[in-house]
Amino acid sequence: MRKAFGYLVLITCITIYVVSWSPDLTKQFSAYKLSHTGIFSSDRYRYGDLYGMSNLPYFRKHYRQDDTIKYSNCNSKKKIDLYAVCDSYVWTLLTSNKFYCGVNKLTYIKTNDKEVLRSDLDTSKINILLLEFSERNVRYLLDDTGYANALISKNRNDNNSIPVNQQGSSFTSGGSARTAIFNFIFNKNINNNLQYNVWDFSFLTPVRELKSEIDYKLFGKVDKHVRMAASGRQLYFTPTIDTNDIMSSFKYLSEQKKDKLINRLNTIYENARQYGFNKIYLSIIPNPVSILEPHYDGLDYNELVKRIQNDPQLKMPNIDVTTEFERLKSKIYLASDSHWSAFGTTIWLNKLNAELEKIAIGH
Amino acid sequence: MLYNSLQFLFFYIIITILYWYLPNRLRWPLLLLASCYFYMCFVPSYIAILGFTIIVDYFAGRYIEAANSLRVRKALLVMSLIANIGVLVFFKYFDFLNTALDTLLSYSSHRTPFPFLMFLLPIGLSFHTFQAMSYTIEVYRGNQKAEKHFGIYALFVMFYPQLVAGPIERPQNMLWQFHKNHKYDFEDLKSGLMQMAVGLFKKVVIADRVSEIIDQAYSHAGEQNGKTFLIVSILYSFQIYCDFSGYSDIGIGAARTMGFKLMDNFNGPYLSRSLSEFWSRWHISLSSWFKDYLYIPLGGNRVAVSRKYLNLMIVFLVSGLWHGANWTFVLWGALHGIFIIIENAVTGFSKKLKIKYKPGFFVKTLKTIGVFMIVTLAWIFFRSPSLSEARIIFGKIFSNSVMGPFNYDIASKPILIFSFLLIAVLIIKEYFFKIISTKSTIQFYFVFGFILVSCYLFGVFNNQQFIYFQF
Repeated sequence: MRKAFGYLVLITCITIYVVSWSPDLTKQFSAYKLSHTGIFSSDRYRYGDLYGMSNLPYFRKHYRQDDTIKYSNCNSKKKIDLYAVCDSYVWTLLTSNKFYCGVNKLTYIKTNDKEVLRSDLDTSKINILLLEFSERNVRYLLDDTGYANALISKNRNDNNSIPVNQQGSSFTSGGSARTAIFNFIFNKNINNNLQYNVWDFSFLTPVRELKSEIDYKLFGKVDKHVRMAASGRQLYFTPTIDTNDIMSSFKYLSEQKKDKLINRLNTIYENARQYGFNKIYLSIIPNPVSILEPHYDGLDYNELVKRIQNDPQLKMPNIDVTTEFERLKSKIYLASDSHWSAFGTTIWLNKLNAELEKIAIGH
Repeated sequence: MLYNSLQFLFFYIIITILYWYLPNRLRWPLLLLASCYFYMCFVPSYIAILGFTIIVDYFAGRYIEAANSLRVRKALLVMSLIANIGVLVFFKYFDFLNTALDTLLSYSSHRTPFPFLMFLLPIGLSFHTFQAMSYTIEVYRGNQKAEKHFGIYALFVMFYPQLVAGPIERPQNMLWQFHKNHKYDFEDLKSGLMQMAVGLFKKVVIADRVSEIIDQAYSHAGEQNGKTFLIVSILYSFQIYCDFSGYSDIGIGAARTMGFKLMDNFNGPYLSRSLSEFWSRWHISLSSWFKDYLYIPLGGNRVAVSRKYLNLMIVFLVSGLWHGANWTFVLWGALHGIFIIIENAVTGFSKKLKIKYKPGFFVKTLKTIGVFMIVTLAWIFFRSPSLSEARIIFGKIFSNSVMGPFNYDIASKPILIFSFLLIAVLIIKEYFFKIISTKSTIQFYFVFGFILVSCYLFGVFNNQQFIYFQF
C-alpha cells in the first residue's frame, strides 16, 4: 500500500515537472483551465489580470462585469482595408470588422509578439494603417531601431519577412537545437510554470487570497507585479510605475530620447507610405496610472503621450483620447486589470470611427 | 535551484522517492545525476569548473596514496592545492587583486596591465573547493584512504544537499556513507522532514521577511539615523543566521531523509558567552576546517603567545577573505580576530592571576548580550557594500542620533513588532523543536503541517537567494 502510494506520488510529480519544463504544454494546460469552469479551472483572468497576480479578495468581490462595447452603426460603404498594428488593449476588437466604420477587411499585427507586416495590399481599396500602442509599449518597442525598421518593409527577403498572422510570425528568432534542449531542461521559467500548473486552480483561490490578505494587511505588501493605488481601490501594473522599467510612466524621458521615438515613428510612417498605405494613424493609449495618479507616490509623470502627439515633427495624425480620458478618469479603466473598460474602449472606437467615416465618405 | 522554490520541492520529492525505490547499485548514479542537474540549474557551464576540481583531486588522491616517498606525496598535495586555490583565485579574487594593484599603481600614475575579468562567480565555489581540498589533505595525512570509485568521489564533492553552501564535509564522515546500503527508516524520514520544515521557516518567514526592512534601510543609508541602523543591524544578525542556518537545516534534513548524516553547522551561536564559543557554534564546518587545516598547521596553541595571536589573526583574516573578495569582509575578519585575541589575553591574564570567579545568571546574560552586540556590529562590515558605507553606519550608530526615533518609513510599527515577535518565536522554537518528540507520528504530522502552513501564510516567496550562495 505504502509502495503504491509512493509510485503514485512519484508519477504525479514527474508528470507535473515535465509539463512545467515545456512552455507549450504549460500553455496548453493553462488554456484548458482558462476555458473551463469549476474547481479545476483558473481564476487568473476571471476578475482581471491584476487580480490574478495580486489575489486580493477585495478586487474579486467588487469585480464588476464589464459593459459591452457600444459601437455605432455607420452606413458608409465598405471601402477600407484596415491594418491594425496593435497590442492587447484592442484584442477584443479584433474578432470582427463589424466594430469599424466602412471597413471591408481587417488585418491585425500584434505588437506583443513583435509581428511584422508582409502581406500584399489590395490597391482597389483604401488602405489604412493604424498604429495603436499602449503607452507602456511605446518605449519597449521603439527604444531601438530594429522593430521600427522591420515592422513594415518592402524587402520580403529580409530576415524578418514572415507573413503576418502565421504561426511564429515573430521579429525575434529562435536558437539552435542544442540551445533549445538546454533551455528546455534548464528552463528559467520552471518555477512560474510550476506555480501555474500546481497552484492556479479555482478551489485554491481562498488559500491564495488568505495569503495575499495577510501580506497586504499585516505587512503592507502586494505581489511584486502590481502596485496599489493610494485609494486602495485600484491596482496598477508594476512596470508602468517602476522608474527602472522602460514601460514606466515615471521613467525620465529626455527631449533627445523623445525625438528618437518620433524619428522611429516617422520611419514606420515613411515605410508605410512606400508600402502603399493611403493614410496612417497613430494612437497611444495612456497607462492607467498616467491618467488616474500622475503623481503616484510623489513621482512625476513623464507626459510621454502628449509630448509625442503634440510634437510638430510627427508626420502622422493622432487618434487622441488622452484629453477625454483625463476628464472622465475613473470610468476608463478596470480596477483590477491593466487594460481599459468597455467604456474606455468605446470612446476610442468612436474617435477612430469618426476618422474612418470621413475617409469612407470622402472617397 | 533554490531550496525555497517549487522547483526544489518537486526535484526533492522525485529524487528521494526514486532513491528509495532503486537498488543500491543505482543510487549513486541517481544522486550524481541529480546533483549535476541541481548545480546546472544556476549556470550550466560552471559544471566544468566543478568537473576540473573533481578530476584533479581524484587523481591527486590516488597518486598521493600510491606514492612511496614523502617528497612526492608532498609535491602532489601542493600541486592539487595550487590547482584548487588557483581556480578560487582566478574566479573569485582576480578582479579584487587587480583592483588593489590598480590602486597601488595609480599613485605612480600607472594602470594595471591586466584586464578585469568580471566573471560571474560560480555558485558555492569556496564551499566545494574547500571540501575537495580537505579530501586530498586527509589522504596525504593518511587519515583517509583514496577513493577508488570515481563516481563516488565526484558525488562526495557534488552531493546536492551540501553542494552550494555546505556544511563543508570531511571525507571521513561522508565517503563511507555513499558506499553504505541505506535501509529505509521512518524515524530518519520524520526527523529529516522536520529539520527541512524548520529550515524553510527560518528562511522564508524570518530571514526574507526582515530582509525587506534591512534592504530598505541600506538602500537609503543616508536618510537613516543611529537608532534605525542599530535596530536594523540587530535584525540583520537574525537574518543572516536564519538564512544560513535555514539553508543548512534544509540540506541536512534532505540528506537525512535518504539516510545520510551530515555534520551540524550551527548550535545556537547567539547564546554564546564568549567569541571563542561563538565560533564553535557558528558555521561549525568552516571553523573546524580552518582550525584543522590552517590554525593547527601554523602551530595552533602550542607556540609562544605572540605567535598564537598572530596565528589567530591570520585565520580570521583568511576567513574574512574566504567570504568575499572585498575589503569589508577582510575587516570583518580582522575585527573578529582582534576581539578573539583580546578575549584570549584577558582569559590568560585571569589564569595567571589565578582568579576564580563563577558568574551568576545576570553576568552570564550580560556576557551573552555583549558577545551578541560585538557580533552584530561586526556584521555591519559584512552587509555593507563598501567600507565607506560601513564607516557612515558606524558613525551614525556611535552618534547622538542613536537616541533619536526609529524611521518608520522603512517598516511600520506593526511590521517591526512582528519581526521581533518572529525572532522570539525562533528562540523559543529552537528550544521547542529540540525537545519535541517526533516519535509520535500524529504529533509529527501536526507540527510538520503547522510549520508548513505558517511558512506559506507568513513567508516571502520571491526566489530570494541565500546570502551564503555568493561565497
